[in-house]
Amino acid sequence: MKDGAIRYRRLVVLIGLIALGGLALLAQTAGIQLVQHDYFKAIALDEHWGRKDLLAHRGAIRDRNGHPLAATTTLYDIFVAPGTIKSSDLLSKTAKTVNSLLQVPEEKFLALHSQARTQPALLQAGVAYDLGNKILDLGLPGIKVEKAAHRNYPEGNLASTVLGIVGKDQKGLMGLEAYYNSDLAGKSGTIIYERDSVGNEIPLGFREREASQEGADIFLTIDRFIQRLAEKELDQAMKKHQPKSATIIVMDPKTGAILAMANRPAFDLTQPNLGDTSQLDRMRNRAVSDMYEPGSTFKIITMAAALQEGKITPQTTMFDKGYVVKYGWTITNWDGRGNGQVTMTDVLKNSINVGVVWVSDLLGPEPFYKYVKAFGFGQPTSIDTNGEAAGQYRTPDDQDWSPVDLATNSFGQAINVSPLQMITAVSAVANGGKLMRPYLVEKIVTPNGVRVFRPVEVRRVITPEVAKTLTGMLKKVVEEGLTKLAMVPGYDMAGKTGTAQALSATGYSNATIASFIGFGPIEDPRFIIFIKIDEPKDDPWGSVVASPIYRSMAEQMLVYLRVPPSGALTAAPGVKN
Amino acid sequence: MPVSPMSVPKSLLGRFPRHRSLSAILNISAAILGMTSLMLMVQISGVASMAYEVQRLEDLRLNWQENNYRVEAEMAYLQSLARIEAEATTRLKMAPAKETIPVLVASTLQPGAGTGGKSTNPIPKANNADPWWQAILDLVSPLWSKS
Repeated sequence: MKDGAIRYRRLVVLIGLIALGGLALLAQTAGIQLVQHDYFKAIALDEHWGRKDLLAHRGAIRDRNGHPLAATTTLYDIFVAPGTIKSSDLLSKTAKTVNSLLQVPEEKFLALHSQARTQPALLQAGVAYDLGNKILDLGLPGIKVEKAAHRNYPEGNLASTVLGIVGKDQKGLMGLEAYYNSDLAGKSGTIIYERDSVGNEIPLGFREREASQEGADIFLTIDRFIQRLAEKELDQAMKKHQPKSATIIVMDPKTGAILAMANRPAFDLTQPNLGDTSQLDRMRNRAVSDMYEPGSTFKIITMAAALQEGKITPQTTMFDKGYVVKYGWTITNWDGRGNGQVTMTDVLKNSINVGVVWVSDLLGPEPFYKYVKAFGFGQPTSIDTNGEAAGQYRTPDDQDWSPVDLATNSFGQAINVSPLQMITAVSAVANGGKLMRPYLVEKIVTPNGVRVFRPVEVRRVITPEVAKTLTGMLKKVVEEGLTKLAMVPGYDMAGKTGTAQALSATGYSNATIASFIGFGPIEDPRFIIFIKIDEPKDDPWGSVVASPIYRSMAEQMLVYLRVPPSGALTAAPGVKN
Repeated sequence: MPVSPMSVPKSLLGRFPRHRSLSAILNISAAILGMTSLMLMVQISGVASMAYEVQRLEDLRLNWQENNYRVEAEMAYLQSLARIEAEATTRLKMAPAKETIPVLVASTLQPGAGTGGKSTNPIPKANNADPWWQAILDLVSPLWSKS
């Protein structure tokens, strides 16, 4: 009986333990099924379904004639999976094969393989496509091969600040690469498939493929020949004048198409160093994002306004004493000398500050600022790239405006504009008074069609007659002006120099911003060129520093664009002239 | 009225003698089953190899496409202005012109038709005359009209 009772108790304990175990299992099952359901479902699905990303090919950026300035090709990155080869013989054999294929020292491969890490270690990046395929086909143990997109720049660093850069993930970070990233990048695709226990795709299992969509090719308005010409001129100027920075823009005045946009200093497209903050300064597109005081080139705007308002004609005269006192401030000419009785053409020709201050007085503040605004200053031009500056100036509506501002603004001081605004405004004069919106992209070619960007007329600023009159005055500036260094033999050119005091942290410094803006041939302008040299060391004057660059560029562009001279042509033998 | 579970339609009585019917049905069923399985296997095998073939062709297409991009990039490098200038100055010993003299020549070339400018004139249409055999065809068969 005693034994029976013991056995009975043992049985109860055993049953109790089994019941407890059962309850624990039940609780665990309930926990898995109810509480952690989503978590385990995700793991199960992840185990069961494989996913392969199909990378979209990034489109190319081409110049106006279709030459690629940036194009993507595929390379391979080769990785070592540490500790995956157990046999020392196989390890040694693999190291030798890798050495013969990639010219990577065997020691490097062995060192990477012996690392105590689970993630694959990069053995060599940017392996050629054919070689990468060969390695892939060999199926070397411990070696992982991954495709990697590579951005090529066939023209080197041409237009680097305009093109911008892409990151390692092939996303545009700056410039046109960033602005048109959604078009260039295309759309990545995916393959979702069922996989077996070791991760291989089940041949007849479920497979869903969403094809990738290739990125669009972007055709710029930039002409690589003209762009290169501008960059070569800038490089020479940087060497000769050792300025802080320099910018050249070339535009088609009839359409607003940018033919070239170059900045110095610039950066190396092939090896951009985003970690180096000093490099960031080189990546800026100064032509679009920097503001400066334009100096005497702005006299074109003042004259245009006065001509349009009928306040002056080219023959209107005034007396230039060499200085003028405005509300206690003395404004002098650039050389401090008076020119006596001068016409308005003389005012432009000799860049007489006192003369344009007189013109601005005739105009009055309201019409003057109306035209400044109409020419597009103080607002972005809406060009199709990032980081555009709006520029700034005070108007009578601002509390801190004073009549002295009107006087100084008339010859381009105390007003901030961007190089792009300046060339756009003056191109309206070259274009018979019509202000065009500048643009960099001519068309976008997608796999589904072509998007063409047409020139956009913003507004008419001055009449064709006024534009013609002003062009005639600007022709005199080139032909009879201070240095005549912008003259191109055989062609009629119009232009204006500019020399503005550079701004420093404490106000105006002794350094200058030398500039020139000109267009030609005046009968049928094919281009307008803007040149800005910031703080040249050897000579401060725009007429000396920037004008020769205009002449050099114009001469070469006229030949390139096959523009016949305005004067009589030399007849080839056997041809009547 | 009760129906015998073994009853056979009268029309079949003559065709299947009673003593052979069961084994024949079993044999035929087994044969049909075997054939069906075989066909299924063949079909599965066909689909599998077709799937692999499609994948192979897709890989081939991607490979060719990638080669196109690569060749285009290579061509662009070869056509780059820097390379052309280097070739001209070093290999061909060319130098920039010191002076440019524009001359008037008798030419049918339209202005801007060169490498630099973009011609606004329409491109002359190619001679799209029908080939000689088309004329014969037209002659032989008046019913074949050219659209």
